[in-house]
Amino acid sequence: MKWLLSTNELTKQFGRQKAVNGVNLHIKRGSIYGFIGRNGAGKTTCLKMICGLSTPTSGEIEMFGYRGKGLKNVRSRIGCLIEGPGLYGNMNAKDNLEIKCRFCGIKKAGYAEELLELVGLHEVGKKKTKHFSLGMKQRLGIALALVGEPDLLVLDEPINGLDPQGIAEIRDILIKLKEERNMTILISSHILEELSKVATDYGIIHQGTLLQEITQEELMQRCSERIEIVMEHPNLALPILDDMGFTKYQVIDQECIQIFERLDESASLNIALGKAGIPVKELSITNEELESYFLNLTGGARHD
Amino acid sequence: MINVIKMDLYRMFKTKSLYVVWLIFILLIIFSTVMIKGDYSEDAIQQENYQTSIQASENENIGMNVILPTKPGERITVYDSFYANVKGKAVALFIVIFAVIFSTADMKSGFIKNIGGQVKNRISLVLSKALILTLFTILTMFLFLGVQGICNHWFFGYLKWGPWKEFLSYFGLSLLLHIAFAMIVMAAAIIIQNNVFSMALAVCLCMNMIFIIYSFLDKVAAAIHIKDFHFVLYTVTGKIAMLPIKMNGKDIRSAAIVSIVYILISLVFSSFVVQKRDLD
Repeated sequence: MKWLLSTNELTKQFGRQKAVNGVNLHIKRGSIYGFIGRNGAGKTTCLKMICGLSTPTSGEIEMFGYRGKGLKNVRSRIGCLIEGPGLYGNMNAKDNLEIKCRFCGIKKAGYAEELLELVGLHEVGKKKTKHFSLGMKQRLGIALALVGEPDLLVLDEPINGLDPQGIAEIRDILIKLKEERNMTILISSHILEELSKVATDYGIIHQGTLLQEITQEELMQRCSERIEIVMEHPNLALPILDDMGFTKYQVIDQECIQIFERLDESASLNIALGKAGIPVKELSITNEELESYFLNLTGGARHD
Repeated sequence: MINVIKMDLYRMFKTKSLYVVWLIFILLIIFSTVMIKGDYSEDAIQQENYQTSIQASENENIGMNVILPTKPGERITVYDSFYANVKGKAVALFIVIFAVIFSTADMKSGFIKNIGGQVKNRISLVLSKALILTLFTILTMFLFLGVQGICNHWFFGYLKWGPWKEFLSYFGLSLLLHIAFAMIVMAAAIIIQNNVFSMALAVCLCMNMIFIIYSFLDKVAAAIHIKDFHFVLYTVTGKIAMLPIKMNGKDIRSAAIVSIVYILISLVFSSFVVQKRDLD
């Protein structure tokens, strides 16, 4: 079993509109998979299908080696927080957890308290959840998702509406879960900058279509500082680069080479290319912000 | 399934509305007994009530009323008071209020998203609610019985239960009819997914506000040459209101069949909807 979770042409259609269109996700065991997309891109619909809250119009989900009707047997291994925390407002945090504990058949004394401690809500006492702040609700939502020690944690926009401190707290919880429990986490957000602090892999979805799956290393490479050379025939420059000892470079397209090392040697590189009679249109040191990388991929800053 | 039931059981006893409904219900029984005592002390009024209660077994009226079926001069039994309140659908009203609140709470709060995907068969979510509402109905009926007994003792100075055999039959059948009513309301609440509409529908059923629809169905039946068809006789609320204090075998059989049919229909419909619907 290569993937803990994968989808094959997963599609959800509402009327004539395809909210999710042929999505193929691949999530490794033990990874934190950042599922990025703008509002309305199809993230939540996709996560709902994965969690069994919604039925796909077509396509398939494979999880823990099971697919089709067999998924019923493994869905209990998922903990989810979809579209905000679902809490009984007239009950306190412990009661909400106790309800889920009964559902999962957990009788261990002090279990709810342990989870409250983990998410930093151990001092809320009898306070009803309707009086909780958004951050507290989100944390309790995560605690609910953690009941039963799930192997896969699915979190839909868990940092939405949180202040920077709240975001940092959620981030710490997620890192702790991955490191201490080796939990696989699928987390959606429209803020790439925040996800990049915890995610190991990414899937970028736009208008229901998965545009790209990329690892953290690949993303950092694409967004890191580099020498960018624009020229007519990049292949001609490759022997020069090799002679100069450059190894971390990539031919991006028919006009562009990017070099990811020894950025301070851009001047000598320019001279060497000139000496070899290779015309350079442009040579610059550049980098790309994570957000602009995401925006470029999804069609710029406009919202359509 | 057992875990789902345990979860719902815990939720029921942790729900504040359970205790609020029971508290108001107890107050209503006390109030109703006080009113009954007032009527009972006036012979002329009680004679009129007695006549009305006999006629009411044959005709169904719009609205709610508690009319004591005791003959003037006879001692008021708990059975009489119980019958008057059940027939007036006071008990049904409280049961359906809780049924709506309980059935929709998980959907309204969004808590269902925490568990909806993990449950192997979503039908168990419906069956569990049905079982818990059945338990609630049983507890409410026994609470009613106990409180009514205490009230009779307090306000009339004596405690007379009435003919045990008849009382038990009526109690059992009323229980079944109320469970059926709770199932209908639960199914409506699950399907409609809106507390206000579900509650309004439940209250309309209690108050016989949809009698107009029954009349229309009667006319349709007459138009297609079905003689003496009265739709209300095949409804749970109709049965609750029109069940006579002295039942015969036919009354018991027809009420039991109507209850069971409605319970099954409600469970099948609500299970089908929950199974097919996306959980939002």
